[in-house]
Amino acid sequence: MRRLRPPLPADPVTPAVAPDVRSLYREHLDYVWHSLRRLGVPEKDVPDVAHDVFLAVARALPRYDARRPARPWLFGVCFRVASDQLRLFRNSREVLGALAAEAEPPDIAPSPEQSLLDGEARRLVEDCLATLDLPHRAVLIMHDIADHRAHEIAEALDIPLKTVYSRLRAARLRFSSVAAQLAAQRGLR
Amino acid sequence: MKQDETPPLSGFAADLLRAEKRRPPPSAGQRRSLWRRAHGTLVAAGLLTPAVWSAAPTAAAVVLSKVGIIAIWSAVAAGIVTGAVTTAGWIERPAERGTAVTPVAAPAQDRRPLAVALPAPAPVAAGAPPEAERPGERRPGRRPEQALIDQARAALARNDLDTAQRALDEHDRHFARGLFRQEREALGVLVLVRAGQIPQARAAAVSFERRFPDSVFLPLLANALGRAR
Repeated sequence: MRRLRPPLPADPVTPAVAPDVRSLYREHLDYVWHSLRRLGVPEKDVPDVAHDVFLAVARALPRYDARRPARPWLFGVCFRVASDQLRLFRNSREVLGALAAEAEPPDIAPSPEQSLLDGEARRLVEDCLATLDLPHRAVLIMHDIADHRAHEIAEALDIPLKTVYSRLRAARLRFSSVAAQLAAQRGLR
Repeated sequence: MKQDETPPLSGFAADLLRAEKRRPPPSAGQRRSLWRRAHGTLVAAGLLTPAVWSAAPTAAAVVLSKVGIIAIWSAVAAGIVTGAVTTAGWIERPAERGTAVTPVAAPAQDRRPLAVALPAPAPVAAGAPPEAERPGERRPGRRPEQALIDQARAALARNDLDTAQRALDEHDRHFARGLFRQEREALGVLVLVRAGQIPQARAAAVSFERRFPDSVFLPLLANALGRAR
């Protein structure tokens, strides 16, 4: 007699229902917003670009594999939309030069931990990120800020895994070096 | 190169990035404002089913859903059960569209005041032309028009959705731009809600909100749709 197999347990990764744009907006707006800032979209332009991102998300939803985590996929959309926007924006060298020239040292140099809590530290992060080109910046943001795994980054940005690691290496070196340089200029260290 | 061969960030750079992770989220106002815009674009592009009362509602919807829900529900319940609504001034708008309407004296026993005072209709700008009627459409007259709305309301109250819808269709055929157009369309949304056709009800509510942004029925619809979720 043929034995029936017990039913397989449900795949815990597979959501019952594919997300819609409303639920993605509700759950991931913060992520999209910060990702755009980190990719170099100016604060005042973030709402406009985020609007375009959710429009692109709605169009791309039929192609989204709901078994995969949403955030890396959303970052990929942010990356592509921001790339288009940033082509019109100033290049990273100009940004760095202008910001470094504008920087005024504070009266009392706070410790790194203290300065991390205020806007100066955030500006410093933005300025350091701005010295990276967009592909390197995207990998650093995804890996070291958003804590995505390398294979997720490769998939989201549509690049080979080896490229993820090589970009991450270069981006970390550059970021560390510029952070030290700018922090010294601004009296943060 | 593998991940474990990737050089780590310097301590200071790592501190900076840890701080970056604690960046505060966008404000509630920014969230609402962005959703309002995105929602409009997505609906216009056909990428989203219209939903005025979604989880990311407009500020107006939030206010409307909080203000006057009880008042409107009480009034509508009173109207459904007793039929007093139509004779107690709820939908008396003789001058609203500049249409000459002969006042109809209601029977004395129907002149009971409503439990809750409802806002007066918005005044119509002086000189505003009356809305054009459809060809072959009857001129709005309170009694027959009102009778159809009463019929729909009573049918809805006893959950006879077919009869309610027939009465509303009849009203639409004969009094498309009638005095009780708002009532007809609001009742139409309620019929859809009662029939479980929630997406259609939401779409109809969106359309209603666009055409009657100041309607006193909006909280009623918001509440009905909210309960249906």
